[in-house]
Amino acid sequence: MSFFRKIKIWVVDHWIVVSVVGGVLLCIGLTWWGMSQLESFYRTMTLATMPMTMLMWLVSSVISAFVYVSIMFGYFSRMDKKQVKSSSVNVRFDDVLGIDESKDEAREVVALLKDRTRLKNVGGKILRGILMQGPPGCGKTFLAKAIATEAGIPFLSLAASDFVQVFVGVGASRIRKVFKDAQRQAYASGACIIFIDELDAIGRARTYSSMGGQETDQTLNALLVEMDGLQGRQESIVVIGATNAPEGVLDAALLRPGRFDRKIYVDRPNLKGREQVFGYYLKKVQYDPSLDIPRLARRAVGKTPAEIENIVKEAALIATRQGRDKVIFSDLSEAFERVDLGIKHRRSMTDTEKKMTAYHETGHLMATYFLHPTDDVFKASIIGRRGTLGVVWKVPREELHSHTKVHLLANIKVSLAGYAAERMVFNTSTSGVSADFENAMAIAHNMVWQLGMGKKYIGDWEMVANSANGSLNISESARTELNEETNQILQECLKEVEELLTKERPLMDRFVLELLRKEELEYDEIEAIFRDAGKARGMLPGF
Amino acid sequence: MMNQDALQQKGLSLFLVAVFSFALTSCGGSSYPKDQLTQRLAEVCKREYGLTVRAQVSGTTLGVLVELPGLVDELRKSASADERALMDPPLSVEGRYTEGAFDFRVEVKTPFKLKHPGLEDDPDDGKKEPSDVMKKLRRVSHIVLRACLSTDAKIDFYTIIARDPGSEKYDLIFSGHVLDTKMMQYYAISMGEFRRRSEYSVRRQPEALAAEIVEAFLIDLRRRSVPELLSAYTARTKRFEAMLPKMIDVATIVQGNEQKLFDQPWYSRQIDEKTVLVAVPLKPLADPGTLLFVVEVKEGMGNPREMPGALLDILRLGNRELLPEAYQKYGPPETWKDSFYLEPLSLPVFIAKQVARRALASAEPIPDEKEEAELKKLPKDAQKMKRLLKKNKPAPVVKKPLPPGAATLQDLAQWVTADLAYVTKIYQFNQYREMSLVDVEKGTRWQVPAAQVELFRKKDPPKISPVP
Repeated sequence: MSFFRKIKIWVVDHWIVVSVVGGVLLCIGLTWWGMSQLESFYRTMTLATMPMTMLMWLVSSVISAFVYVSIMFGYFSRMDKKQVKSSSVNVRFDDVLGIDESKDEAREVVALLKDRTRLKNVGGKILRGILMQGPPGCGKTFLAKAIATEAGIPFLSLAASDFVQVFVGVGASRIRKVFKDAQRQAYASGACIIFIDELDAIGRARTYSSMGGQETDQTLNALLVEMDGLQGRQESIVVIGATNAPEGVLDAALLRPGRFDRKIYVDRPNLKGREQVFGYYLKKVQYDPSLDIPRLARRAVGKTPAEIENIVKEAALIATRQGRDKVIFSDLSEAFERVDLGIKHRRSMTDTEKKMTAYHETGHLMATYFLHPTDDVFKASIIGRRGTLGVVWKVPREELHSHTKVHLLANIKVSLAGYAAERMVFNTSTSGVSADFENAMAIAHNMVWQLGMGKKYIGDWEMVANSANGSLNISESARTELNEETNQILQECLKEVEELLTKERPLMDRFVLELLRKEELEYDEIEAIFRDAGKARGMLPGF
Repeated sequence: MMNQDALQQKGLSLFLVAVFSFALTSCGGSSYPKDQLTQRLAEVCKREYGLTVRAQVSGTTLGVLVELPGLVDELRKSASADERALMDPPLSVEGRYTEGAFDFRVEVKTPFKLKHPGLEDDPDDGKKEPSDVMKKLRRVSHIVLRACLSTDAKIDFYTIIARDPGSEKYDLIFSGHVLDTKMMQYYAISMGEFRRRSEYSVRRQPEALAAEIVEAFLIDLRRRSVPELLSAYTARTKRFEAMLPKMIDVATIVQGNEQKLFDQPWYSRQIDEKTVLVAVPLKPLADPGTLLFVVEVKEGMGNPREMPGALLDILRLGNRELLPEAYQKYGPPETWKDSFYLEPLSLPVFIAKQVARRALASAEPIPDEKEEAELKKLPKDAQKMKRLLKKNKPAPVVKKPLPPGAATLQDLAQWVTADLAYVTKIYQFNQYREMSLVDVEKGTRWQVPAAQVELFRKKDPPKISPVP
């Protein structure tokens, strides 16, 4: 009796092993019985295919196991994030040039990060996130590096696109992994910075639909939770996000206080900033010490530090090509041109076409010179660039952040001047006016529809028309009147330009002759012709 | 650790047990051992499908005979439904293997063109629900194929004889090579190709045929004169002088009471391809003896206008007298019911017949356009009737010129040689010295030595010229 009890206890203790062994034996037994029932030919056939079947089964099991283990242990979630030590970044605030206001804000952030212990004692909370916005190439990443270096804490640099993956859920998993790593770093060093470049890749406003939304919504949700979710974090992790997209594109939950607390707008540098940037990049090349950097800065209105760097590099290449060991002003001038206008591309044109192009560009030139309040013509050319047959390069004399009605009308007149010149001289126009019309019509349309610069209607009618049921919010008559006003602006501008060109026909013909002869006219030459005709405005200081 | 080791050991042991079991299983003997092949086969048929069959091995041929009532009706139904069957073949091809050479005799009846038979399987296959008779036939075939594959006996061929025991005594015969069966099992050939390699034929049952001849003889004993009897019923290989006394002897015994003999069962047994023994007990004539007729029967369906066979010998046996020594091996007539004759197949003959069949299948008649246009105007049933009548009409004596696109015998000779090259390659048969094709009507002959037949396996075969 006790023997059976022992057996029973043993079976109960080892029921898993017993079940597995029993199952295996049952399978083997059934297989053996099944095989024995087969006729010998079919038995042989089955046995012949068995080794290959078992091999394929083994291979597929290995693959399945690998995939399963990878998912379980988050191998798919692994990403090559750059974990940079602050000492190795080595970008100081002094190295960040041209964006002093943004830098001041960044200094404040660094000060908060450095004094986090005191801040905690006072009862304040450390920043959770800093959003850097601005046009591309203005130094957002550079500033983030400077923050990391100055703060003396570890810096994890990632791109938001790294979170976007083929498999659903991997993005969210990676977010969690990054924050986990950052926590470890913060635990060791007191704080940690996670820098996410191109944040708009995952930070766009979420979509709510019955189809379930996009996969990036999940990633964004994970980010929101990690930044300020239910479970509070003990460690100081600061997330710095950089984006070119306007604020309206990003999800509102991301921008609320408690997540991206601080928003630093990194704009294009002003004149002083540009001078600093030029000075910084020129120091990296061999350049003529007599170079007038303020003049360069004045010429580079609206340029970002990245564009300025590009211009300096291009100038160095030009100098090398021309056999010089130093960069001189003409190299930089040519570099400006190359960056703004593109490389020259001479096309074989008939004389008539060349003449028409010359008149077209002269029209733009004269309209700019006589009618535009802020822009100057730096170059007029009938050599093709970037798909055009000719170009008039006009540059604003100064930075302007808003435009008056006069300014906008002047832009329309300049755009229409090419068409006016062609029609006046040849009684026809060419397909080259399409881009000009597009520009002129866009400005005129905005003036009337959005900026209230028409005669009758004020307000942003564009927004109303583009909202839901927009077609119901604007009556057909209002729409017609708005369009008529737009057209009226265009007609008036055209008339004015035609009058100007008719009046200055001899001068126009002279410019055309010069263009046909030289193909390109520089600022000096243009000014000389105007002066010669007694129409000069006077050169700008420094030009 | 100790438990883990123990588990690993147990796992290993289990694995070894499994491997050993598989090894044991694979070493198991064949399911149809050679000494029990026919017995097992009959048992399996009985057990799985309730069918009673007779099985036999002759040489390397496994034969099975199964009785299927309603078979003839079934064949008629399918033939009448199949329009192709109503079209007269444009030529006849007979293939033989004699004295180490393949010999093909061709008789052209109507213009024809040569085309490769469709590679696809019968599109209707599987769609129509087969009848009970056909289901039984398929089941028997399936079991025979299984037996061929799973036996250790040296079996190269199989023959299935499906016999209708009804009033119309016909046999449907399938023959095939075991290699083709294996290739079909391995999906190396399609079902259509398998069918092309198998042989199908219909014949009058030799035993029934022989019995009919004997019956006709006994009736004609009263009606016809001796010379007529001799002329009609003596086989060509026999001399009238030998048969005359035997016929007179039979006439003396029967004395016009042949009807009494017809009311009792007779015993027939086919002993070779063309010879059937017919034992007629004389008990109704108050004679304890038996008349033994040795009948020569013609192959196939026979021509209804001709005698389907002739008498080779007539023997009178006394009461309980044993059969003559030559026939003793077939046992007493009462036991003949359970046996059947199985012709042992040989590879070269099989190849010759297959090549002939392929050539016949490739020849498509070129219909007379006018005639077809006229036929198409008629309703379908009328069309079938007309075609049937045309089939039984002898071919016209006046030969019309060949229509455009018609193949010549030269083309046919090339075709047949290519088919022979293909088929001999399938079965790896090289023991022949030449192949010849003869136009029966004109006597033109094409001859190709075996070495040249090989060349027809390639893309651009040589051109054969007729033998001058």
